[in-house]
Amino acid sequence: MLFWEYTFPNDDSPPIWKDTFKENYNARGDAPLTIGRFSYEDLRQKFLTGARTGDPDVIEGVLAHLTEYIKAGHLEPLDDRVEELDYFDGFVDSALDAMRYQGKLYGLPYTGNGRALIYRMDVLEELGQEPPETAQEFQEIGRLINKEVDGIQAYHNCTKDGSVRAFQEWMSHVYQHTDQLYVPEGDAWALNIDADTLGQIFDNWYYQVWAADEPLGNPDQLGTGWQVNDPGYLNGQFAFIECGTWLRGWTTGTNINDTDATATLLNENTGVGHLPYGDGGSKGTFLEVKPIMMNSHSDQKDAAWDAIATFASPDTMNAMGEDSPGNAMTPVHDEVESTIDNENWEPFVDVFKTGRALAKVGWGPVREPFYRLMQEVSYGKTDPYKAGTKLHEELTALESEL
Amino acid sequence: MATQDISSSPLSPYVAEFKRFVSDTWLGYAMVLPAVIMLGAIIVYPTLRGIQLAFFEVSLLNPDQMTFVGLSNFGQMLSDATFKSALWHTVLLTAVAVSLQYLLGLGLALALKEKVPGAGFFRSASMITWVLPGIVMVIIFRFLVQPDFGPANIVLAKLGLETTYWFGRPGVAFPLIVVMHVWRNVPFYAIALMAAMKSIPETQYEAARLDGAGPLQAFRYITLPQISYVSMIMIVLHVIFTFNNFDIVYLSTGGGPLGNTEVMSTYIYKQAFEQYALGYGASMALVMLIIMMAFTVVYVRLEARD
Repeated sequence: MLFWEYTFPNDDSPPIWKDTFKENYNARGDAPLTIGRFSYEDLRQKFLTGARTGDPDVIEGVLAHLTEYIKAGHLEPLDDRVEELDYFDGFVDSALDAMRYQGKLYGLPYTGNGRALIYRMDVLEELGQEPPETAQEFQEIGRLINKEVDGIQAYHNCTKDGSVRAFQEWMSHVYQHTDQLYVPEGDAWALNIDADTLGQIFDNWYYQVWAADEPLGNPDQLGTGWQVNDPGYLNGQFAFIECGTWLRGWTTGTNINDTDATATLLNENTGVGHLPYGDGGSKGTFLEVKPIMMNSHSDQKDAAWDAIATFASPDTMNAMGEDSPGNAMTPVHDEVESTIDNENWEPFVDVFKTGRALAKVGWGPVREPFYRLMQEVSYGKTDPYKAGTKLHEELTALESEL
Repeated sequence: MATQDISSSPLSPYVAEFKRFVSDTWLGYAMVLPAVIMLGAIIVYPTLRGIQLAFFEVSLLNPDQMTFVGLSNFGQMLSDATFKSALWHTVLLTAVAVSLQYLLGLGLALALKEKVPGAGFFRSASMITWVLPGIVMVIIFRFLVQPDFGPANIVLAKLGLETTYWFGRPGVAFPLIVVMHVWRNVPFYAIALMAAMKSIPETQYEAARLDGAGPLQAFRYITLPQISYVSMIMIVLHVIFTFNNFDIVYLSTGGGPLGNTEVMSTYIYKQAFEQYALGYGASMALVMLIIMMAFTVVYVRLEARD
């Protein structure tokens, strides 16, 4: 029984989660378990091209992968099998809904989070400011930070071409204006946002950040991805970033300059809030829910189910919280204890509730025009509202392909 | 029952030929058969399959549903601005990088050939860049140009010059990609060219000196002609490597910023694996194959004629 993943911690810490999963699997199943680790990009590519061989039997991934795998016919519906699970009723509805397509359940969730505004409480306190609720307030405070506080930049977001994180950040702001970017319409999909709103999102989150006269971000960091974003915040370079729960326990590693300083920053000076929204928007964010799925071409489906049922069980998920606390801060099951141990991080629970899962469309063709136009706006080559109109045209043209 | 002497039969030459084939040639064929099957499975079949896909509309998500579209994938390229831009970047990158690699490699080979102190160590150390995995090289370069703490930016800041994340700067990202190719491959050129130079008998240089030839003339009329075969192999190989290279661009810039570093291989990858357009991606790959085959044939023939 072959299981491909990219989620177990890959550091020197004791593999509590992985070991617990193996023990639970061995207690339930007979088939020998082999675990293979690949980056999510590799997992996706290998599975899309090779799933028909029957390997791997079980795969873990992100929500966008689930959609693609379903459309490729590589996922086995689990509806009949989940009836036997005594813990099935405990899954959070929104997380479970994210696993469904056309009424069928194609995976079980094991972790989830909503993207939140991560901010420096000490910086805001120094300036006598409250966390921003609207994009307008956010920009005003950001410019104040850049003007008044030395050694820190107000904000950073991801603008690298092809960056998955950049797409997720953009979708977070889309979800502040619409429940879904595309909605089903008959047998096809229809774009569910207007051009002006797309332009406003480009303006608030890319033009004002990178290309305006007083940019919120550091133009030297234009074109960078999470490799600058997350470590930059953890090393005290930024006052605001958009991030998920994984940041909480990230105090060591090659990207961290000073472990003690980062621990202090996360424990004492970091606050969490809803992402600021623009005109006509409201609270909303990208919901990241990760599924574990079964290969429909597997010749060991019973063993594969044993692995899935074990991996997504509350017992295994509680072990996940022990060595990967960021994965269990906002649990997807009510028998899993939240690992939030600091009141400043509790707003993640509310943020999680406002999260929206990706619609079940193939997102590849949507990402290409977004990256191109996002970069054109960020580099000041295109007016944000013209880019919004252009993006609206291109996304509308994709309706029949999705 | 009449018997017939085989040796006198008109078929005897064929029988003898068949016997020889079975005893000698057949054994040879049998020995190479596994390799032929292996090559067929891992080279010929994928290539033919790729060529076939170029004439179909195929989605990565449903590769079994193929619609024959004739040459329309190729027609689509003519109106695809990103394809044209990627093709231009690929040709430019290949021409500039391979030229620089050859010239610098030649210079380095001439230097290493001399009995200078530390040349032996340098010969070994210089191969490090070539044996480094591509991802490691990209990480090194990305670290070098990181804003604030990247060594390149620290030096620039000390000199009072502009600092930035250079991979994110249009106009600079592409030259940086060229620099990475050059940095990686120059030592390989140097070692190969130096080996070719060492095979030239010293007596030829002595004879040239006696005839009054200077160092430049010796290089022009003795060294250069006798390293031309190795040069041809190196250039053909590296034109193909650079033209097809994917990892350096994809890992360092992803094709950005603003499409400034988009090359054919990254664009094909995006079309096939992100846009699901497997057929269109295959048609662009076929164009790359034709360009490379044409280049190789023309270059090798020109070299042979010289």
